[in-house]
Amino acid sequence: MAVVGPGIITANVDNDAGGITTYSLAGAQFGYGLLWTLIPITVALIVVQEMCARMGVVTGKGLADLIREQFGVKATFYVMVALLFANLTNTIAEFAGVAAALEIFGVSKYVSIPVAALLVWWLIVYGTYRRVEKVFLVACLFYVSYIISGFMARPPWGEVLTRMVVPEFSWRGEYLAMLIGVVGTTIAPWMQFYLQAAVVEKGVKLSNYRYSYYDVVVGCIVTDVVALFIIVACAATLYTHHISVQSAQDAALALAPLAGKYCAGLFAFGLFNASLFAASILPLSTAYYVCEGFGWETGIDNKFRDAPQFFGLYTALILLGSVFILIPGFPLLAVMYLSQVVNGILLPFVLIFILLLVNRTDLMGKYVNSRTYNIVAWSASAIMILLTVAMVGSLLIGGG
Amino acid sequence: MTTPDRLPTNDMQGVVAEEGHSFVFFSALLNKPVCDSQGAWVGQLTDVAVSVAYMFPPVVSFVVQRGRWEPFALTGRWSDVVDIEGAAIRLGVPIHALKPSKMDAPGEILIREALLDKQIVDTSGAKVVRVNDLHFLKLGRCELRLIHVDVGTRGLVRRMGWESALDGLLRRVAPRAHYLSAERLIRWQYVQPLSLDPKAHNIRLSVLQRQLKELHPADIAEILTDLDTHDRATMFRSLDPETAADALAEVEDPRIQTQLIETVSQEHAADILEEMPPDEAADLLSELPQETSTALLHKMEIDEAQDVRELLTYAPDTAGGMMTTEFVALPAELTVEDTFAHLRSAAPDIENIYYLFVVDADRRLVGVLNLRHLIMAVPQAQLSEIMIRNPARVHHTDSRDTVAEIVEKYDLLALPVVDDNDVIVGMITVDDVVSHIANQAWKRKLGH
Repeated sequence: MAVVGPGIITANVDNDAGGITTYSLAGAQFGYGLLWTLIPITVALIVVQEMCARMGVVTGKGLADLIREQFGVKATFYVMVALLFANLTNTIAEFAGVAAALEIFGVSKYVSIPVAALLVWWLIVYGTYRRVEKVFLVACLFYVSYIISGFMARPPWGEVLTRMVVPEFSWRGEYLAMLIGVVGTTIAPWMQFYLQAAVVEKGVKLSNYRYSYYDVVVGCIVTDVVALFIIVACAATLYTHHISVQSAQDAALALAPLAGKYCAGLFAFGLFNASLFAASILPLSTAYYVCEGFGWETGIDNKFRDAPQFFGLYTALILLGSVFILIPGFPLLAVMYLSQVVNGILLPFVLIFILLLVNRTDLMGKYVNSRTYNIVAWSASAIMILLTVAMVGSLLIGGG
Repeated sequence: MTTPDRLPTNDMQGVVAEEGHSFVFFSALLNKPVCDSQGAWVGQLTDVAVSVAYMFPPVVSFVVQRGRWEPFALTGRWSDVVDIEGAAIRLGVPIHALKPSKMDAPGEILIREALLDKQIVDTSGAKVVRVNDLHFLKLGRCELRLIHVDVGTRGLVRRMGWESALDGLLRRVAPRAHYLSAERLIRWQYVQPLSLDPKAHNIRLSVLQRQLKELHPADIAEILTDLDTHDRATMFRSLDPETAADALAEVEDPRIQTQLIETVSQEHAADILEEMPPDEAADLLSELPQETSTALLHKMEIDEAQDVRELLTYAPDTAGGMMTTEFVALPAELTVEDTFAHLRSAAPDIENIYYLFVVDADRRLVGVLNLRHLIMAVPQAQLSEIMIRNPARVHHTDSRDTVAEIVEKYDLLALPVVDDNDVIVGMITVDDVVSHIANQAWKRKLGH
């Protein structure tokens, strides 16, 4: 139990506002047509996350630390700036998710967003990383609401199982874009930084590493099971009835007449939980590793004066993340989509750094990647790079 | 730029007074082209080695990389360098004089590999910082001595290559900006490197470790907490048992405590545990896996292990679990004079001697004294005449709350703990109670 947590939390934060939106849209637009991708995506996710967990345990350093120490200050600077931008768009997306979910329950975003932002801020003033982790582990349980929604939608289980293993592919532009979206949202760059930092923070020892390994594997599987149920719930109802939706909020509302209002309520509750959860973790972890990379004082036990960069970054991320949502007519959907695109563009760079580091004997000793592992990881990265290039290309040519 | 008053004293005094010295940042040398005596291009400077045997380590050799993708490096002696000012670093020897290897001599460190971008301990500020640049004093034409480590934002900006641009901009828009005047340079003597080549470890730590020893144990504990797990282990291993024990007792996070004690050999761990107050040692051992704590208890000196074992039998959230077995208990018939003599011999091993407990022949608690009582009394008086009878006490099964309540109510600095027969078995000092009281206060404040 002392080792469990980082993997499961990271993987669950992954199902954030952007993730739920993407999966809902995938189900609503393509039915069960994307289910087969979940198994290879899960394998890739496990491989990537496991490398970081292993690096954290063996080197005792976070990913930002290692990049700084091995590649110098310039590489660190560019990676951190890119990550900061990606995580800012992600944070905006999380607050957008909070607003959307609570509007379903009739709460105006002008109330929900300031309250949510303050709540997240409160965590840093009164919480410690470890106590907060317990809250997060409990928050992970609420993802069950999506599984229940999936069952309440009464999908044809036989077909679901078949479509999970029988690949189906289409060269249609929208299909490709959605495929990329699903991959991009599932394997997000901040996850590797967060997971490795959390493993280091927990002080996991090599002798306990297999528990961390299980933590990562279970977390990745659970994430994709939740993704599966979101897709299935939307496919069984919205796709079957040819209802077009634009966002996770639409999906939740549209579920009500087809699968019952409890189903819709659970769906919306899940979105709220996921968004708030991610809105707490993203800014905090971002502030942590950016400061660590640059050697600035970190830690929520400090006073503002002692760690100005840390508190400044954290505050700026929350403030910007929430303020944009309050602008009337702010394009929430576009931002959620943009955040996934930015994740996708950044991911290959982060993966290359990870692979270069994890194969260095002077850092990893005998825990460098095995040959099979390298083949899987490099080809996974290569596919993700290709998909990212394709995504950027499709965006430039056809607007996604 | 650094002002002369920051300059080192001691072995540098004579040289500093000479004409023609100036300062060079490592970032200005890094990646500079290198030419040999014929003017032929050799490669780019990628590292320099300094000899840490000196208080202000001189640069003794350099490493040149032939090309970005070429793996092999050339090493040369710094004394062969004739010019570092020009567009290229010029050598006084032909290219064949360089050795095709990366230098790895004992007592020398490659500063880029071991220091640049790494975490170090600033022992003057007692904290962990990251090295952004290194600062040399230049003597004569080419002799370089490492004097400062730059940990400031300016160093970061300089490494990015933006220093002159940013300086120019700031001078124009905000000439009084703190950034322009603030340098965060740490003198080399106050630097404790951590991520070092394991081969040469001992040399460096023995050179610099005395700085670490002069820090307050609470500072060492904080530094340990701030480090990553590997550097934490390296630094902890380098501490002598006494310093390690003091620092370990100050580490607040039990997870880090157990992690630290598990990074040293069992013999070393046992030595450290012996140096700790028994209650702290018992707390720590109770967090460890059963086999580890049993093994450590076996390795400890019998007396110390006995005290700890006894404490381990009490439940952690009772008075027994909070107490220490290090206390002074004296027979009621003892005179003040003899008591002083006794204290003089016993005090070095006992943490708290301000409270003295008076016991009868069966070690039952009958009274208490503090040092003030003792000092005010006539030397021939017996303890039974000056002690306070029937003092406050707790049973070893009493809860933490009860302990906190009694300590608070009677304003005690130490509270005796007794067993079923009223025999004194331990003492709880106020510092062990304070954290509990503080937690209670917090809970009340938060409405739990």
